[in-house]
Amino acid sequence: MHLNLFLPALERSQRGTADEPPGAILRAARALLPSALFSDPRSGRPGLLRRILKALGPTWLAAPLRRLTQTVCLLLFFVLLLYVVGAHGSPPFAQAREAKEIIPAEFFLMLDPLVSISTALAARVWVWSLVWAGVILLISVVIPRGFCGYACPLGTLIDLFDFALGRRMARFKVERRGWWVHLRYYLLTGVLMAALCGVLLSGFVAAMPLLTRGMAYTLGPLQLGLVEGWHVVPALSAWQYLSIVLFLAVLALGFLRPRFWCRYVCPTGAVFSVATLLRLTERKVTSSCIQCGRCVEACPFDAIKADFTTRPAECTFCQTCGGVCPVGAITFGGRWDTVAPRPESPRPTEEIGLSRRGFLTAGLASVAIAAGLRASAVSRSLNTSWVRPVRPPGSVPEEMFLRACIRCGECLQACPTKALQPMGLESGLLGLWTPRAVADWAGCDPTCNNCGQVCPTGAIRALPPEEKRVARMGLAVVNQRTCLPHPGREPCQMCVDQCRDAGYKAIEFLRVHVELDEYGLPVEDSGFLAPVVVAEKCVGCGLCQSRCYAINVAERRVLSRSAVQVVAGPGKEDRLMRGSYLKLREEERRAREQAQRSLRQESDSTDTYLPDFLR
Amino acid sequence: MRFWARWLVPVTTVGRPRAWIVPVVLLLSVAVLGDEIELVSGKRYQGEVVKETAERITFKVHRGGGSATMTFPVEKVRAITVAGQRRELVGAGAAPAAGGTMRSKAEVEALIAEAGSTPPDWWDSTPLEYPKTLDLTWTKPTGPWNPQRNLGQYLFSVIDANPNKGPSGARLLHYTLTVNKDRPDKLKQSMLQLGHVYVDVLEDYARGAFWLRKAEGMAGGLQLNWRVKLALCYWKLGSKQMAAEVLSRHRVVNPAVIKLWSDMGELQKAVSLAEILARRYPDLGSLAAADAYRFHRRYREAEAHYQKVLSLNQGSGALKRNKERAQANLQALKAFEALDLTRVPDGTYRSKCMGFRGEITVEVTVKDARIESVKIADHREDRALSAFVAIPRRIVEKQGLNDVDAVTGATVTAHAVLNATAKALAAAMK
Repeated sequence: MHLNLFLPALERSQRGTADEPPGAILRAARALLPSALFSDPRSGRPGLLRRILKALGPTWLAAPLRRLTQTVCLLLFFVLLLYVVGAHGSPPFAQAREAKEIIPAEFFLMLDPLVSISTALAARVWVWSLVWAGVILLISVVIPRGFCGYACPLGTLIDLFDFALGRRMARFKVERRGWWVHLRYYLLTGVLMAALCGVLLSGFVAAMPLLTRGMAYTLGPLQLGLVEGWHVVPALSAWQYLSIVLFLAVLALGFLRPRFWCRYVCPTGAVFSVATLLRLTERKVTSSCIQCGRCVEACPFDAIKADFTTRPAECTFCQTCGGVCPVGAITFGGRWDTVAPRPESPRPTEEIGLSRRGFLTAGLASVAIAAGLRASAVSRSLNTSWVRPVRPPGSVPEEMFLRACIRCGECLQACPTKALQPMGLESGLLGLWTPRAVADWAGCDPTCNNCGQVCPTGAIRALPPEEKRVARMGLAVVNQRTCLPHPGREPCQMCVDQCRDAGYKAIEFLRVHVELDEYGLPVEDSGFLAPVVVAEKCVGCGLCQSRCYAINVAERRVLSRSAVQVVAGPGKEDRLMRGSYLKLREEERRAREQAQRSLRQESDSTDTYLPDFLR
Repeated sequence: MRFWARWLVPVTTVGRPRAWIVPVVLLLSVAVLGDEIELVSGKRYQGEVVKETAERITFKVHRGGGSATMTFPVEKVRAITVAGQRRELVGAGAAPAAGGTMRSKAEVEALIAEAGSTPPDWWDSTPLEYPKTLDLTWTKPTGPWNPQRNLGQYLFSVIDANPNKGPSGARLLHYTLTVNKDRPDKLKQSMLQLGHVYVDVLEDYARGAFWLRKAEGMAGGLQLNWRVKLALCYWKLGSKQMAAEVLSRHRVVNPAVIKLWSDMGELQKAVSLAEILARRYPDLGSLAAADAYRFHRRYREAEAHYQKVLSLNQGSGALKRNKERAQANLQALKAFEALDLTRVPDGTYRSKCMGFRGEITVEVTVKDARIESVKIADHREDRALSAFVAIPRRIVEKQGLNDVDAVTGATVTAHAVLNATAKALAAAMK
């Protein structure tokens, strides 16, 4: 069995020996395409394809398929993030996204196995993206760590960084060995232990959430500002800058060694490394090895040690070594295939073993962190003055939400009005970078269900638009002391108009400060029409608040804060773990009708259109 | 068909021209889709009605080879014809005088008797709902204004303020008929308020007339304002004669009387009554006269009367409010109805209007009595930015503001641009 995906070094055919007959694909290609593209084995002259690849760089020449796959995946990542999720189009936003979403927008987040595994552990629920984790792990049984070598857009980005900047600065370079070489296993242990304690830390360190958040916080606002104007971009908070700095730090690790993050730190990569225990294929070196050492130099993952033996847990199957090998001694094939083995090399490998101390430290530290975070969360929920954040529509109950939200920022990127913004420490460290609806900035658009649709873990449930429209995120409350018409300051009906235009009709008028004429009768058109929220119709979208804030607070400065505020909390929001919000609404409606019927029964005999005595 | 499947279809069936299809399809489309919409302005469009709601009608207009979808607010629509059946719309523009559904006295009486004895279609779907604290016996209110306790104040503050609560209010009032069965004065109060809700909130004139006449039959008859309401019902139901009889029985005038005469097409009568009213309340009289002239498209006189109101120093107790109303009406008149670009000197005019997120500043350039350009000078909007392109383009195309808003639907931004332009032009007009 062969799984050679590299382009072998061009060898001039030896006189007197027969060339290996070309395969079917190569024969077909030669028949169809101009011969200038192909190399001539007899003269050893490289063809156009080889020359192009060579111009692109040695790794392109050695493993073109891998580089091509990487490029496609990175482009796909940006297309998904910036076009499918980031370019919102015009309402109805749900349809605008659906029309573009041929591949799920959260594709790469789904593929990150650590995301789904840790979420499932932390929330103790079945997360549907576990299926995808299973698929990618199954694939990585055949192509061990293939995700890291071929698909991971963060890895490709790091490759680009190393190419553009990392290799130009030698000052910070470190040796191949050090305390950090097994950091990723310790991080993985820590993340999984914390997840077992019900605290989700993987969002901070797993590859895909880290990349998505880094891009959503930088390219997202940039794109929005350039396309729609800078006034629609919410200012970044200090905590967002922290996230950006952390992301840049991950890239800057490339100054230490190429792909330092992927080699030593990435816990997602560690999951794949553990999966290599079940690998069916691996790298083999045959007896024709001349011990030139090119493969050791070319290997971006330190998978080939000084004695030319392979470390399967490190090898990402990138096969660059196969391409650079001048004698074709390297082959990729079945794990148990036998090849004529390479003679033993006496050179020491200077490896560092996994340490029990490392695992213990990581495990204990993460348990301690988890316990501390949980304690702070409990103490906060006891504090009555704590303002609960308004979560995106369809979010699972808060406790579960914090256990399931991976803080990837995909929902923030998908939000067309930027009503969703990341939290700082208002909800403690547990709530850092989780999405919250900021109604002062914008309301939740009634035609949009993007946030739930792109959430990779189900922290925000993927509701169809008509169900999302009735999922209550909070309740609008009018402050009767500050709302302009209530104390009779001036007429204002922006919240009512906004609510009506959105189709909720949850804010009604009440005429206040009515003037009376000399007979004690109200004067027509006197007084003010003041807003009153009908609680059973309000879903807490915040359109009312955003308008009041934009005009009365920001523009006219007649108020210091919006007179209508969306508040969350028990009884003010529905946070269903499962089951239909539509059904919930229907049940509520029936209950109300029941109550009405009992009221009507009292008046049943008298409540007629035309009473008999008037006929 | 999936795009790759197209390759499987034999070329001949796709490519063969079938010229006869075209005229047949055209004929069919005219016969089947031959709807027509007639606007209050007199314009007519052929096409098909896509959607009709209580507030607006979406209409697909067939023009030349293509079609465009336009949305009209119902008050701008006089009638729609669907499948050959013409239907007048009940609303400002669909008064009998405009459409011509006149009825004889006997027909109106029959209509009132019929509607009065049958419940309206919303009856069964409207629950009897009211605050538990509400006193249903029309006790004379004491103390501060409290709509949760006093029935009249509840109707004024809650039902009248929310037109969609009309059915709920009417249902409650029907219930109070029985509650106050044994007290004639309270019973009459319920009937009068039923009349008010049916006429002013629900625009159900037959039932309005029915209940007003029930009240008329009680001791004391009807006071002026209720009589005008009854006359309005008769007029809306198609009998100008019955309405005129009710109105002529009185010597006292108020603005409502004048407005009804004007609506019924009697401009001279309305204006002469307005003069009488103006002797005592100059602001009310001139405002009523101006509104009447405006309704009859005599814009020069209307403008003069609005100006007169603005120049007044004393008048009725509501002088300030009447002046504001005159100012607003004058601006709308100058911009939307009597826009005369020859009266606007060449120049660039700026004005502002509150948009979605802040004030929108518009710059209008007029040259040689033509609107050269409309530019958005400053804004903070974050949505409906297409309005910034579409609305100015349409204003320049139409060289005016009429019917511009009808096309886009009512977004805040579009209206703000339109109103700012209107303000700028109205202020510049000499």
